[in-house]
This record gives sequence, structure tokens and C-alpha cells, in this order.
Amino acid sequence: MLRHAWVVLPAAFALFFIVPLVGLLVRAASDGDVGAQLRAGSTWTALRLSVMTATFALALAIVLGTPLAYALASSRASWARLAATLLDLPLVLPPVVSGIALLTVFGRRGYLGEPLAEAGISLSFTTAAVVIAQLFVAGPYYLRSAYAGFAGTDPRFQGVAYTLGLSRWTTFRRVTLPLVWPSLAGGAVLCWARALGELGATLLFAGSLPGKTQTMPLAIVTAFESSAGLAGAVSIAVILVGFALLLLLLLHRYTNAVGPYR
Amino acid sequence: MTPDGFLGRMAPVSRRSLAVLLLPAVLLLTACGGGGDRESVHVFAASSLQDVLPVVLAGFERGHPGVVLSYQFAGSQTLATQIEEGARADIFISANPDQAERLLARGHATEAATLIENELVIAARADSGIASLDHLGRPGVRIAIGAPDVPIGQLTQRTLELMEPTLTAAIRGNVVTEDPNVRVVLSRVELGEADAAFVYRTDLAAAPAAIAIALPPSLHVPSNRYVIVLTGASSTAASVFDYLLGADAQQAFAAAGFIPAADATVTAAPRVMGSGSNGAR
Repeated sequence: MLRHAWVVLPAAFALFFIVPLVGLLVRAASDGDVGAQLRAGSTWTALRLSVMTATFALALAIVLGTPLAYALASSRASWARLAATLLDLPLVLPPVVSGIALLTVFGRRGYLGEPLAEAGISLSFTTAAVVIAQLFVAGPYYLRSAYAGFAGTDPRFQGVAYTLGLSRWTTFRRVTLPLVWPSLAGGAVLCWARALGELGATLLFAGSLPGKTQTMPLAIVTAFESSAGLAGAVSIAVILVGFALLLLLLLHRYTNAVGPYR
Repeated sequence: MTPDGFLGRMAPVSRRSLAVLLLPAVLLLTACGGGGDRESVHVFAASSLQDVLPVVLAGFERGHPGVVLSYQFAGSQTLATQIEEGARADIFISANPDQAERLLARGHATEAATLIENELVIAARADSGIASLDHLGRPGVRIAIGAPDVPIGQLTQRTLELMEPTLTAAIRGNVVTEDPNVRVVLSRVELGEADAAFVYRTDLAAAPAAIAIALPPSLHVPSNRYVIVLTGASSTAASVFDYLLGADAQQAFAAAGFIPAADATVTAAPRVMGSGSNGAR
């Protein structure tokens, strides 16, 4: 028994994360009306929008972020280190500030937004703006994880592959990628989950209109400020958490069982 | 197993790094300790009072040097929830009559009265070309409003329903966002992302980039602020309540664009609330 006494502290730490979630569930069961929220079309509209935008943001993070993380991790230049550090900064920004920062670039009066508006393209208050906000806030989680993965691989593996005559692309695909796969998968889960929970930047940059820009977190905060109050907010929150749990369980199963490199 | 527990078996280096990790937490806890012999009154108030309330109550603080007022501003519903969840507050100023009644009915409050009246206006960017209500129906105009269930959104919806049906439909078609509270609604105009927004007149003081366009009297829907004394509040909180309903405070509110409460209506409490009892100073 005593041999495993040290487990008490880590176990308590795990409970620190789990018990509040259970509390949320209990609160929703006692005060809220999860059933009514599940029957409400507005909940599904928001959930569908949330899942769609978060998944799209993750896809962009993977497609654009993997080469960037690889390039930064492979470079020995000091600017690459600096760039990697700069790319962590959005993690520090309060999301509302991220939203304002995005408006300075993509807003109607922004550096890119103003020329775009003259061309008839407006980003703010669109579903695309939701994806951009999520990508800005959640993308660094994927980048950071992928960068750590690439930076942690021993370059001698790639060196051996080259001496055996493999091309750069084949080496990346057959040697590097299997080594960094857990980092990429972990980063992807973090990025997706963070995007799904994104509130502040989305509210500022994309607005909040049901069916167009009102994601689950925005629906929750709107319910909280409305007469539905805490009970309404908690009921919607439980649906979001439950749905995310389901998807994460499926994702873990997939990456553990049939992940391409296991 | 050795009796020295978890920390004892760790290497010295990790013990030191643990101390470094815990340092911010310790600093934070000691920083919260503070306090002194001055009496504090916690005031929770609706977001729309963020700028005006400290100005109004500065007069009270001058007359009561031993009293420290602390403020928390958020949406009325958020604050009411926090109070019901046990947040320590003495005075609550709500933009919603239902909350005043609910807090009284559930025993969270002892006194309530109408404090001031606020008015819905159009906030428009000076460079947007919008100069009247009719302009809001033009195609391509971007309008921000409050979500239908939050106080500012409810007021906006009730006002929209009083307009010409074609104008109402055109304005609704131009809505680009339904925001959770009035500060966010107004920020759309300040940031230039929307051309116009429906906000309280008093919010415009905080937004120099926006101009106010008054609505015609036929569209007037009353919107009151209620001041509530919460259960367990000290007698000092009661004098804050009286001060807010007194002539000095009402004048300061009027200077900020609010309409003084015509009569401090009893909200739900069985006894009559002091409308003119400002002798507490």
C-alpha cells in the first residue's frame, strides 16, 4: 500500500480537473434543462457550426502548420528560434485582445480588410471569420507541439535514410513523420479542443449571429446574460462538453488503434 | 518505505524548482490578504453604469472618508447569478426588473427601488452617412444589436416592433450580430465593423467615435435601472442606497444623460422604500 502512497498527490491533481466537470453535470441535472436544450433547434445549429469551424481551423493548422513547424525546427538559424517564440505569443494574449488584433488586419478598416472591402469582400461577421479567429487562437497549440516533435527527432535517422538513397520527401514520410506522429496527433487534439471552446476572439472578430457565427461558446455566454441565466448556460455547456468527450474518445481510439504509424 | 514523504525523496534541485513554481501562488495569496480598518461596500452594477457610477458615488465617498467602495460591472444577469451563488455584494444595480423581484422573493435582497431611467438611441459612426432612423433600412448598412434575450436586446426588439413593418424588416435584415451585452454592441461601432448599433444613450459617453441619433417619442419604451440592497449588507450600504436616490446623485446621473427616476417605485418588497430619505448624509 505505502509503496504507492505517492500516487495520492497526482490522483488529487487529476480530480482537480475532473470534479468541476462532474459538478457542472450535477448542476445541469438539478437546475438546468438539458433535455429542452437538446430539443431546441438553436442548440444543434450552434453545435454544428462549432464542430464545422473547429474542424476546418484544425485542417488549416495541419496543412499550413506542419511545414512551418518542420522548417523552423530544421533550421539552425537564430531567427528560426525567435520566430518559434513569437508564434507562441498568441497563447499569452487574452482572446478578446486576439480578436482586436485580428480586426486591425482583417477588419473593415484593417490593413488587409480595407483593400478587401473595396474589392467587395468582407470578412468580419462571416463564418470564415470564426475559422480565422479559432485558427489564430488555437493554431499555436498545434504549431508548438509539432515544433517540439520535429526539434526532438534525432537528425541522424534522416541522415541514415539519405545515405540509403531515399529522397527528402520519402524520408519525411517514412522516417520523420512516424517519429513525430504522437506530437502531431497530440497537438491536433489540443488545437481542435481549444478551437471548439474559443469565445473571446470569435465574439470580437466574427460577431454572434445564430446559424452564421454563433458557436456553442457564444450561445452559452448569450444564454448566461439572458433570462435563461446560469441554468440555461450550464445546460448548453453540458451538451458541448458531452459532445467533445465523445469525439475525443473516438479520436483517441483512432490514433491508438489504427493510427497510420502504430 | 522511508518516512520522509513525497517531497523528502525528491532531488534538491527539483525541490528548489518546486519552490519557484509555488512562489507566484504564495504571492497571490498574500496579496489578497490585505485589508484594513476601513469599511468596504461592494457594489455590483450593470455594464451600462460602468462610467457614470464611480463619478456619482465620488460624492458619497467624499462625505464618508472611512468607507471604501469597490465595483464590479457585468451584465445584470451575470451579476444576479453571482449573487445567488454567494458572491459578496452589498448593493446591486440591475437593468432588469425581473432580477430585482427574484432577489427579493428569494430573500437575497431587503430593499429595492427604481434608480434612473435610460433611453435607447442609435449609435452611428460619424463617417457612415447615417443620420436618421430611416437610413438604417438602406441595403448594405451593418447594424449591431443585443441578443433577443438580454436586456438591451429586449428593449431593442420591443422598439423595433413599434416601427413601420417594412422598416423593421429592413433593419432586421441588416443586423450582422446579436451580442451578449451592450458594451459589445457598442464596440462594433467603435471598431468600425458596424455602421450603427442600438444602445443606451448613456453608453455613448464612452464612445467618441459614435454619434447619437435619438428615436422619435412614439418609439419610446421605458428602461429603468433598479437599485437593490442585498441581504446581510451593512448600514453603510443602506446609506449608499439612500444617497443614490437623493438629489445630489440624481443630478449627477442626469448630467451623464440618464433620466432621473420620476418616483422611486416599490419593486416587490412589502414595505415602501425611501424615495426621498436622503438625510443619511
